[in-house]
Amino acid sequence: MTDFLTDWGLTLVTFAPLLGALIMMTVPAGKTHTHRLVALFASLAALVVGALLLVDFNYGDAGILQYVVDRSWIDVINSRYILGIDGISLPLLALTLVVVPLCVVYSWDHIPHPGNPKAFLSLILILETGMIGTFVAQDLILFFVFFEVVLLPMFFMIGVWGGENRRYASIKFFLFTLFGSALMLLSFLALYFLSSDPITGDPLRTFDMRVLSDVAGAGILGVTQVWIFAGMFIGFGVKVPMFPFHTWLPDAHTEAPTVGSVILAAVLLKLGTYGFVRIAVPMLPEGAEVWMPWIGLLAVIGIIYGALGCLAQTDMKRLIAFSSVAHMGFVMLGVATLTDFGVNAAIFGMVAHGIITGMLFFLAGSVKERYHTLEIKRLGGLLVQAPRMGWLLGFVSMASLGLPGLAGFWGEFPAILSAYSPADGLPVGVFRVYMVVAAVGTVLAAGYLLWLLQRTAMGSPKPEFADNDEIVDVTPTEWIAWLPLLIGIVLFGVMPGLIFRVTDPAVLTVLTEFLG
Amino acid sequence: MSDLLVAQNVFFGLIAVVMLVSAVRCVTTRNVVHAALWLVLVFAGSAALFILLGSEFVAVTQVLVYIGAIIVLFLFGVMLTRASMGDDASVASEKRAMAALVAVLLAAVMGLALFDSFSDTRLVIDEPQRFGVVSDAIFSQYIVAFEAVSVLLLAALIGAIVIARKD
Amino acid sequence: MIDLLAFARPPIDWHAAAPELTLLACGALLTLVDIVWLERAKAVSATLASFSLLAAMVPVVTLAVDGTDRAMFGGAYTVDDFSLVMKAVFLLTAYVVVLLSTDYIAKGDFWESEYYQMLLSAVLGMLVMTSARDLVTIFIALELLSIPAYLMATWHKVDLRSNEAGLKYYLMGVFASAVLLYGMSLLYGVSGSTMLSDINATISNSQAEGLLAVVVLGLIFVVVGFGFKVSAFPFHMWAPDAYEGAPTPVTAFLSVASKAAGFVALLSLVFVGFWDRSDVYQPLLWLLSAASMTGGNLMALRQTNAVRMLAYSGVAQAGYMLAPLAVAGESSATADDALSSVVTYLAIYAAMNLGAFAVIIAVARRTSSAEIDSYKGLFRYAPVLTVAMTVFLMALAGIPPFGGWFAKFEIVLALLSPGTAWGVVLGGVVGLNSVIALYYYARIASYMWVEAPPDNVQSSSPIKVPASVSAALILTGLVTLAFGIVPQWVGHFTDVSLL
Repeated sequence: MTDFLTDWGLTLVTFAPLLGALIMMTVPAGKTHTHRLVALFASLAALVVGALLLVDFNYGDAGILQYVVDRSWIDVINSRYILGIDGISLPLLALTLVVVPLCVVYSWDHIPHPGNPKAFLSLILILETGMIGTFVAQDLILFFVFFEVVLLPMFFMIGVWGGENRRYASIKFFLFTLFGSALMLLSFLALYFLSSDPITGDPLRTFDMRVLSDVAGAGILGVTQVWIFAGMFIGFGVKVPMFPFHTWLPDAHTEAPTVGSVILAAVLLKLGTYGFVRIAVPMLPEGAEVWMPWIGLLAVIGIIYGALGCLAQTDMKRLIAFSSVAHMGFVMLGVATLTDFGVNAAIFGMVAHGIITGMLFFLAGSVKERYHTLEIKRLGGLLVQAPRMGWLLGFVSMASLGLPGLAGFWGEFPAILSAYSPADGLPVGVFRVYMVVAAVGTVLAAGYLLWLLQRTAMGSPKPEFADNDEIVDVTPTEWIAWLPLLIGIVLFGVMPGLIFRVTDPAVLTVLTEFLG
Repeated sequence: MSDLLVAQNVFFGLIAVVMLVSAVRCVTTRNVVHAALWLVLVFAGSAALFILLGSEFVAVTQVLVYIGAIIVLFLFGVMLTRASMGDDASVASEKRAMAALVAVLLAAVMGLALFDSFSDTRLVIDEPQRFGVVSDAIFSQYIVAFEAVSVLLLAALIGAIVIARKD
Repeated sequence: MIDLLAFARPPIDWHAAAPELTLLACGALLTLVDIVWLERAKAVSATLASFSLLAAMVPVVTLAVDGTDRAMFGGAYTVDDFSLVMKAVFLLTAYVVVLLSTDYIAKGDFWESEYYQMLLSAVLGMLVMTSARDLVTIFIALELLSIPAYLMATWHKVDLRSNEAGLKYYLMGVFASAVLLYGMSLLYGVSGSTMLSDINATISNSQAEGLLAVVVLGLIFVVVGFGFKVSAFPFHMWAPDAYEGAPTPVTAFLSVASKAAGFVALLSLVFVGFWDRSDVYQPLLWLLSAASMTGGNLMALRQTNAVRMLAYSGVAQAGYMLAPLAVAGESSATADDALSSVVTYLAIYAAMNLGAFAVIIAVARRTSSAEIDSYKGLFRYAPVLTVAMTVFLMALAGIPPFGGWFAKFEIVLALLSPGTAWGVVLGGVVGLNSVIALYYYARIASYMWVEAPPDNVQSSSPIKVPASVSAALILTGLVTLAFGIVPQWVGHFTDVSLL
């Protein structure tokens, strides 16, 4: 069994959803129920294999890659099919594997207009393959391919099943991300051509991420590293999204269907931050050192800007989208410190934000389905009309604003703390200022979330919705889709060690260059 | 400088003047038929130049193909399409100035390039090039091209018939 | 004086010439069948044409298996890996074009057998082009593939736009030939030989420094002449009108095979004929490439007709393919990278562009139009065609996992490999242009998926796609996907060298 998992586990977990999508394409469009079953089965199959991997994972050695597969792929450009997971990939992989089946479950009776569950569910599955592949790929070109595979399904999900402005939002999303990836690819190629063996000085000419992390930019001049890092910074930064590349996010979130928003928030945004931690920082340490103060600056600008943006929003989904910008700011601040503490916090923040914001978008979607609007001033009295849903909104908002004891806290608080003493070589004073600003950001976060809660959940229902039969409490489907996320929020809040224990050894490996 | 070379130079000068004048008249005349006839003179001049250079094959080809076939076809075309036989004001294009400018520029660039490269090169003609050499080359080094041309002519023939038919 | 006995019959390697001879024989057979059977020949002409192309594939495969490079007539005609790969690309492209034409030509008001005769003649010219290594053979091959193409563009005789297409293409093509020929004659004048290898030896010789002006002029004219053929900016003016007016399968043929043939000639010329004069051709091709990419993409943004849009996108794609030539002279390793990347691009481009035209032909059966607006709501009534079109468009845009990404990737890899500033800048231009191009490809995709069908299009029933067009779609679709997911499959074959 272990042998099988070692050789095939990661391949299986990556391509099981794609296989499901292919099977669905052979089933006639009319058989909606079959489609749902195939989609659920495929995503659950991936989850089961993933769970086996999780159980079998050697937690003592979380710092080194496990289940490594290394086969030939594109020999002409020295690119190989290399998969593997360590403590950094593992939590994100698990997050993806859990969120996607929940989205399929939620879509059971929530296929947005104009319908066509076959296409909708296939896209979710293709998306899953892309996301998992990105987290397990250990070759830059393979990483790039998976990173891009995610684009198209999301483009169509927003474009076809989105709201009024879907065409504008989907093309904006597509163009922004592709612009970023074009620069990212140029940086990858620069790494390929310039990296050399630290001992012999021979050019390496490899895309193997393990090797490139090990040599840590050897043979590349500091100035060149700064330029290469800039390309990656834009590529990953657009995806995160970092201020000032974030403008696609509110549009995409507002127009995307519920499930699209959930996947976007829970997993897609993490591809960017994961790229920083996995690729940019360990492969270009000198470039990272120069860029990190600026990234920290953009991160805190994002925190404040996102929070202020939230206060100005009149649409619930747009508000949550801006809160994502702020939360990803905390993650990037953690990364920017280049400390063990900060990067661990960042990874925790990714998982926590994935669960919490995903859950918030689920709730927003369900509210929209009942009220047919997300305009905050038309909503109100959710606690009266749908008390359980109201309480859930309250609970998740608390988690989102970083209440101790819930998952959100462990992403934000250590990230802020870590800014107190950034890695050697980074300007301490500047980062302490960032710390103070970020702390102000948490207060603002409490402000906009409580305000949101007050305007939507509290009070009495507006007259136009007072006697509306459509407004029912949480349905069984919704409970099934949401319960795992709610459990996650509490569990990781109470026992953050579950994640920190896994990530820490891997983070130490990534930061070898900075920890001496 | 030998006498022969002097004679060649004299004849070259004469032919060149005739060709230049004919070429200019060819594009300035407003009568299409006259233009074609001026063109005959240009081609005849170039054939004469080839003779001066000892390339009898090219000279004969020039006469046969350009004067014998192309100009005759051209005149047939003029007559069959019922174009005006006399002076035609519409022949004068409005873009003459532009065309003249381009022509002068191109001539200047090409003339300068040729002058710069070959002005101090002396042409040596030991022996006139003979038909036999050309035919040997066609049936050895250029055999593929030669065979390809036959396919090309057949294809062009078939295609032209299809396009020209009225159904 | 002239010793007739002195003529020695040049040795001919029949195996090396077998692909061309097979095609020639089959083409002659097709003509004969047409003459003897008259009307009845129509029924078999398409089948016979497709079998001719497949039959010509057989010797290509045996030559590839054999693997030795063969040269005839003192190297004027060479069969090596490069020429074999390109022969295979041309034959398969033509095969797909026959599949696309079968129904279109039979149902329309066309001369049928003669159409396939034209097609086979043009393909024969392309096969000759892949092996031609001297100026005369290159020029004749160019004419052999161009003249049938001019005629095919005007094949829809009753349609004035088709007439216009053919005439424009013809006039511009002849003009380009004249320019090209003048350039060739200058190069011959300098080197005294039509063989490309001799030309390279002469013009890179230090004694040739005095002849620099003529060499430069000759190179410029030759490159410009082929610039017309591959529709590079600013020599692309004929392409949109010719593409729009010509029968759509012919457009597919022009945009893929004709363009590729121009590139094959350009590649032989640059790598065999001019390689040592990189100081002359590199800046020239750099400019041509950057202008084509940017100009083509910017003009494609404004198009309202899918065929015209593909014409301008073809201009941009020509720019991508010209790009590696702008650094090809840096070193022999770079030259190999550059050549491989262009050949890879040509192979993948053939699959994805033919696929896009297959969808356009299929959709036009319902909408009778190639206007981009008529693609609105296609997903509602033709989901399979929509998915196929999306795959092809995204492949053209270079989005993984569809074939095009690897093509672009190889181009950028070749551009960056010498590490010169010019190469890096051009790599950046390629990247930037990929983003611009995405906009117009994605626009069609979002029309198909997002919008509702227009009122004048009957959208209640699915589109019936003829079997041959379906076959073409499946073939090109599978190739596009396979080359994107396992690029090694194409990379293995296109790893060729001309030096």
